[in-house]
Amino acid sequence: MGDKTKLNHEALLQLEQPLISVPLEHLRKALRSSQRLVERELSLLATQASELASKAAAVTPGAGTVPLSEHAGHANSGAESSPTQSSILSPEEAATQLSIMIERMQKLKKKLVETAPDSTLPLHRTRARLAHLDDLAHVPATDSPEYSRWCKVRLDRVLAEYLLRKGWGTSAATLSKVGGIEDLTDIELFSQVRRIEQALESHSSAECLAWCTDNKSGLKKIKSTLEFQLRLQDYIELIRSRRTSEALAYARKHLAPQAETHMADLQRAMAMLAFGPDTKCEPYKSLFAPTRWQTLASQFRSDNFSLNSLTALPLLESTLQAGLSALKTPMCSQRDNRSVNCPTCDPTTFGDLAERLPRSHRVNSKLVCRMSGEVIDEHNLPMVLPNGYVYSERALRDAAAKHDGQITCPRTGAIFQISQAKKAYIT
Amino acid sequence: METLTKEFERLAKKQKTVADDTLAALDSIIAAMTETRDKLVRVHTDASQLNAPDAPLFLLATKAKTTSSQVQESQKDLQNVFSKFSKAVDKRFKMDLNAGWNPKAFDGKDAVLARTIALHFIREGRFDVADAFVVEAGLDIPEQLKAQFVEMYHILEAMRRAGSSGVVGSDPDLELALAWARRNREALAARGSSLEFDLHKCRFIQCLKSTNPLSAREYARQHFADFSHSNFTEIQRLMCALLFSTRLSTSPYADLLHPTLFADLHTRFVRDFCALLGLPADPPLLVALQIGTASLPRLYKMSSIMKDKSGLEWSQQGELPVEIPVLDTQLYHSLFVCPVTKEAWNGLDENPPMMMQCGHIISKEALNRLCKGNVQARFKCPYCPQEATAMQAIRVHF
Repeated sequence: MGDKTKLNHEALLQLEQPLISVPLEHLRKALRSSQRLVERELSLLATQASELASKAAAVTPGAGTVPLSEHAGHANSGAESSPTQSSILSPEEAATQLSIMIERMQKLKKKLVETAPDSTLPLHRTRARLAHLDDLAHVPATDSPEYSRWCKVRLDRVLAEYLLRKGWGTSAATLSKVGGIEDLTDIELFSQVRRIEQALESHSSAECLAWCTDNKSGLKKIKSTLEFQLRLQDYIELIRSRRTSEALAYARKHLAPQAETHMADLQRAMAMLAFGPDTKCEPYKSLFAPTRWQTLASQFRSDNFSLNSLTALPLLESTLQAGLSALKTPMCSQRDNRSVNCPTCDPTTFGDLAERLPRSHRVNSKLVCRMSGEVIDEHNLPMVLPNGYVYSERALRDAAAKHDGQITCPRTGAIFQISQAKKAYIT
Repeated sequence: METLTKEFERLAKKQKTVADDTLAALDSIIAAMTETRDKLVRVHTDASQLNAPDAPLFLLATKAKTTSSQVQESQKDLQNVFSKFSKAVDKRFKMDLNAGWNPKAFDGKDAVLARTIALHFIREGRFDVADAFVVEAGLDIPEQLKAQFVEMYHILEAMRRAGSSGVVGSDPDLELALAWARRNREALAARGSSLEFDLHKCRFIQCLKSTNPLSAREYARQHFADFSHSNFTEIQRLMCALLFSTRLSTSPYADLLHPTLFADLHTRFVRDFCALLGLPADPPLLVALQIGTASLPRLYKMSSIMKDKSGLEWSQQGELPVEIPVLDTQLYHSLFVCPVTKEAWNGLDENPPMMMQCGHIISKEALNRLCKGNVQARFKCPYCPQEATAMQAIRVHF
């Protein structure tokens, strides 16, 4: 018994990778972009400040050269070039320049404050998710109430993910609100996926290209060809609308730089110029096919998912497959052997879903009493009635106690005395 | 987990400091610039003052440079802490979650799955989610089913109130459940359920605990008569408890005050309610997911071991390569594995389980093998010293 209810915490945690990696990627992007922004603006500020200092100092040429080079060299090497007449500033002009710089810094500050949630939200979510996983670490066994509580939360989470993946955003939002799992769901991620997919399906690449730019380094890491394929599609659309020279210019600008890795594709693309959109010749025919947009949409989806360590298929499906396989028995499809409590016995729902799944594997006999639903084991022995039907000892005794030692076999209606029941042995 | 949490807390703290520091640095440089600008405008600066080493613009340039490098430094620190956390995450989660299951198994079953999910929401009493989902996914779910669960949750809610207040003798909150049980008395009796009596019992205990314990006697007189046949001993016991109504908690009847009494009643009510609708006692999606969650790691491991080898059968005829442990309460079918041939019985008549005279059960095939085809031949049971013949063996039904 102890072994059966043991919870493999380590293995269960392994299943939760996407839960942590989605906000992690979100945070990675936010931190990097704010770092870049700050770096760029402050470097620029330092340069401008030192230029300003040297230009202003140059108002009286010659007089301040020594301290100037000392200071300017200290601040910025670029300022050492001797100032020209036009770059000489009066104090008033310097003040105006300063005002522009101040404004720029204020803008930077505003931007940082505005984008702060980009980092604090994923941090907040990661904290909530780590706590959720930590709850699991404190669950003692699979038959404990803590475990079933945790499983309920997981079920809500997995369901919400499924709804989001299928594009049922309103239901998902309602569910995560009712279930109190807002911090455990990634509604924004999936609604972005949805938006970009819809754009691609209506033949617009701009949204997806912008996404590619946002995720450039991540896409490079997983060796994604998405951006090239999108550019190629834009090029194909130009040819389709017979704007050949624009197509050529576009190819030169966006396709040629990636020639090294996509030589074959590039050559094929250029050959398309020779074939029109109505060509019957492969592979050009399929390159011109409008269904290529759908292919792009699914490539975008799968690249986005692998970028965020999301599984290719919804968690609900993989978990259900495992669970239904473990539940499925040959009896589930036999009318006389169905059980009202067994999920896979319902042919309209789980039974249908389990159709193509393997069934459970058992090494030892395990009997369930058809009278009480209890397991028949050494604490509750199997008893055989004269008609060959087996029930548990406890169920037979309870029934006999109620009816003066008489037992009615629920499956055949036959009536016996409890004294006629005989012990059976299952090895 | 602890390492992960620790790294995370470091990161969160660092992020906060760096963000605050950056903003503070910006404030200070903005202030410095403003001050410098004001100086330039307000004080009439002549040109020669501008090139003094301590001229405001020089000082500002120096400050801008230090600010810039300080902020950049701290941003870099933040990146380092972040990449440490990110590495800890990578180290923590290593399993390939894309292996070990069949991507085609649910092909074409989207509608069934959606329906199953909708039924689950209704079953769990999440009618808001269910309504939104049915509309969004364009499903057709019978209103009647929903109405039944609305009723169930309505009654449950009232029961919960009764459980929490629990003292007032005239508390109507259990009445809803009682009315339902009375309406379905015959169906419940057919299931062998004593729900109706148990509800009365709870009401009786409520009276007992109230300021007027004698009202319990009145209650018993009104309601227990119907159950004098089926629950006689229990009624006797309850009436005896009346004697101790002033100090129930120290009496032999203290168990009547146990809080699980109410909680059990809830579970039993849901069970009976669902059973009368022909539905499982536990939400089936939860059961399937719970078992699935526990078995996924095992299946992932199998698929990584058996990769590119035959064996992991994800086909209709196939069987899982490993046994998945299932709780006793989640076993729904008897599974018989013949101890001789080790073959699992498939529920059909071709190779049924047979019981020999000694009571040991083996498969028909094993029986035929043991008697070498002669139904009258005597052979020793493989598990006990008794002898048996195939003719005397009877077919058993699990």
